[in-house]
Amino acid sequence: MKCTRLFILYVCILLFFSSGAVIADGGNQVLHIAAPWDAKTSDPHVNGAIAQRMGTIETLVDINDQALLSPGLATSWEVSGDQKTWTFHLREGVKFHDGTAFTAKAMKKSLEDSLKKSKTFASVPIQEIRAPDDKTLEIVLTQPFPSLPAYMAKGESAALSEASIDQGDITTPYSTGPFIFSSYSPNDKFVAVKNPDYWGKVPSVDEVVYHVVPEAATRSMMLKGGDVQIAQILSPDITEEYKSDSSYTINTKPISRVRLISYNCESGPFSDTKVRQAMNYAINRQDLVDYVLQGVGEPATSLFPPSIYWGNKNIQPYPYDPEKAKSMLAEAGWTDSNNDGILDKNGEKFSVSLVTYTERAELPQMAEIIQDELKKIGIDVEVKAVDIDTSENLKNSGDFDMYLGGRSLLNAPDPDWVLMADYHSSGTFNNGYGPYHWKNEELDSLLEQARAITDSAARKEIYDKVQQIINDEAPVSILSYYVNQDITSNKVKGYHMHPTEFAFHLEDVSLS
Amino acid sequence: MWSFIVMRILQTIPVLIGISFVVFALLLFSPGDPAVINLRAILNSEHPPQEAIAAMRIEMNLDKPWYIQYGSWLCRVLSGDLGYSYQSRRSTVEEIGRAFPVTLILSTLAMGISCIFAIPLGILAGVRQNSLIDHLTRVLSIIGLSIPDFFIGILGIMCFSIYLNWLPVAGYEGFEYLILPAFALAVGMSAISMRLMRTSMAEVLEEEYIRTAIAKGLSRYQVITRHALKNAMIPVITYMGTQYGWLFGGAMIIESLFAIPGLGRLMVESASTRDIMVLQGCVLVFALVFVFINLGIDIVQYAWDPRGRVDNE
Repeated sequence: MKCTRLFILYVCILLFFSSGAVIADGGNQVLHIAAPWDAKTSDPHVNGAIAQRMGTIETLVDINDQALLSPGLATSWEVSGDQKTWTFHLREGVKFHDGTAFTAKAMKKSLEDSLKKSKTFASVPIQEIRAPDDKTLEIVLTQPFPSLPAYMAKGESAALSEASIDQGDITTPYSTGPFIFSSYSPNDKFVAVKNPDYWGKVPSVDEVVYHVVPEAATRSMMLKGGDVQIAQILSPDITEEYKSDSSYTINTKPISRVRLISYNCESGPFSDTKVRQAMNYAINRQDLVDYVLQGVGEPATSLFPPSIYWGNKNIQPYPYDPEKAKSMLAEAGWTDSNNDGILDKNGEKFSVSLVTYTERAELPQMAEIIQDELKKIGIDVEVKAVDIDTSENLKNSGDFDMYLGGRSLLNAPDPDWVLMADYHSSGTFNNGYGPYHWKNEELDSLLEQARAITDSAARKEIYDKVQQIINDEAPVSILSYYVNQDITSNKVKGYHMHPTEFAFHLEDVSLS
Repeated sequence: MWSFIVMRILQTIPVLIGISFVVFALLLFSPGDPAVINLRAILNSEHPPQEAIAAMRIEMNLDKPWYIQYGSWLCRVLSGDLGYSYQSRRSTVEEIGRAFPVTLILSTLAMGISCIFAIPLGILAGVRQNSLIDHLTRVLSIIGLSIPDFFIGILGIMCFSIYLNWLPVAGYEGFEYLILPAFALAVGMSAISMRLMRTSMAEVLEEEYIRTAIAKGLSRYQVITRHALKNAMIPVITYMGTQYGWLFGGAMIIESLFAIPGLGRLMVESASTRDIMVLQGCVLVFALVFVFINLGIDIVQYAWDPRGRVDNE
């Protein structure tokens, strides 16, 4: 029958379609990574985050594994007595990928391009950049700005050769990193090759291909299918599958981002310090990590994680003690006088709103657990899980009691940035992301004091005190640190994650 | 014929103007300050500083009333300038120019696979009602309709990429990367087109002119291919054309699952990051594709079906 024959022909065509070949790599050692974030652009001065992580660009200042500023392309830096002129001493013998020498003149031109293109530096009061000689760069400010070196670690301040800058919209950036930019295609991949002339440790792999894969499940399947050797940012339910598989390694790293509850310190029950402190005893942080994050998270103590330099390691965690919370609330005047199960004071019920947003999937779940825990001690919580913009409007207008959110601490890798914006009274009264309308004189003066000091150890002492005050006065309840999980195939050796997601450290990675 | 085509093209203009208004209004009334949203992307931070927000509002014309924003946008679009992405600083035309061909190939491939499956099987089932092949295709349709495309995609990856290692898992570096996603998209589409083809063929075969064709001694094969198929295809073409249009914006889940940098993903990503100019460009292109596909369907029907010409001439 003709029809039957046709049918067989179609089946044959279908079989032909499904027999596609797999592309084989040559003799080169090529490392493939699957990650969720796109580089967005090939111009590091517009957005340099992915290029910086890939190691194709370098900045004056580096960030080490304790999230502390360390020498990068500048070997040292200092500030003048009036705090307005920063001098960076540049590294000797460094060459751009196009072969030209890395000089102060080139760096000046590069930074001027950064300032022009990137919004990252909108709040940095730079007046002028000078290059008095080949290896000295001076940045003159209109007013003191102690986190300037931290901003010089942002990818957008990358050192790029003059030939790169002359391209305008930079399509081929020549920097100084251990890898050389090779190609970028939007929402697809970012390719870099080894820089054999690198001034530091020369990478072992020849080429790195960074694949942009938005779905975590797909990243995991690419790893299993052998298409990539590193799958980044996987969720706990996916990493669970790998626990029993010895051909993969689960890499876990707490990053400098916390989940916290900010309180409305101006009106409502949380304007009373005692009540806020009681909350810290009433919330079971370990339960939140265990049941919402499947154990992948770390209950928090200090604002900055103790694993990084700026974390106050002496702060003791608040134990989960609902009885103590109850007695503290009773001291503050909140008792259940009419036996309806909800605390009251002067005839007013302890009914509060908890605002959070749905963009981070774990937050609404945490909000529900907190609601349940607080109910046990007689607090009636209404959870409002909305989109992030609505939540911010509610918060900035003071139309909330508790605000549960995630906060990145080291966007500019210096504590001054987040503490001034969120905890100094100039920030808490001006749409900061910390407590609402909270003011602590001692904390304010400590933060201002720290701004006049450049010595890290002395600054840390002050920031330790600041974290202690935040812990004691409880304008916020710090719940847990974010933890990233990357899975590597066992062919990958030497992969280690960075606490601020500053670098992938691919120069340390080898393939077997 | 030509006057019909020109008339149909002219009819699309008010549709496009309407679309541009709706898109603009949606963006205008969506929650959140677009300046803050853009800065979140640019600065890689959930919480951009106040100074930058103020500067961004002025840069984005957000301090002006809506009709001025709309007017300036429309003028630019009509002169071929769709603006640029706040995310990447590339022009919208470039962004869409990159994503569109990928989606075009993917949708065409899915469409092709769906045709290869659905039309012959549908014809067979229609011609031999209640035969084994009819029952088999019915079961296949129900299965194909019930399973969502992303699930078929995941099954496909597990089977062909991980277990058999014949095809790559995800990404877009060549034709073989599109096979699995195209199949995943084709399954649901084939299921419906197959049933539609069967019903339509069965109906046409009941018509009097078919009986005439058989009576004048034509072979069954000739009757079906020469007389029945043309008429039976019309509803199927209409359905498939609409589906083809949907694939340009609606293949987002599959594009995301397979990490394919296509138009659907660009549209959804620009919507979620509220990259306004890119989103507007995407919706415009999506609307244009739809309008032109509908135009194509109308022309094909006009050419194939003499009954349709009566109203127009």
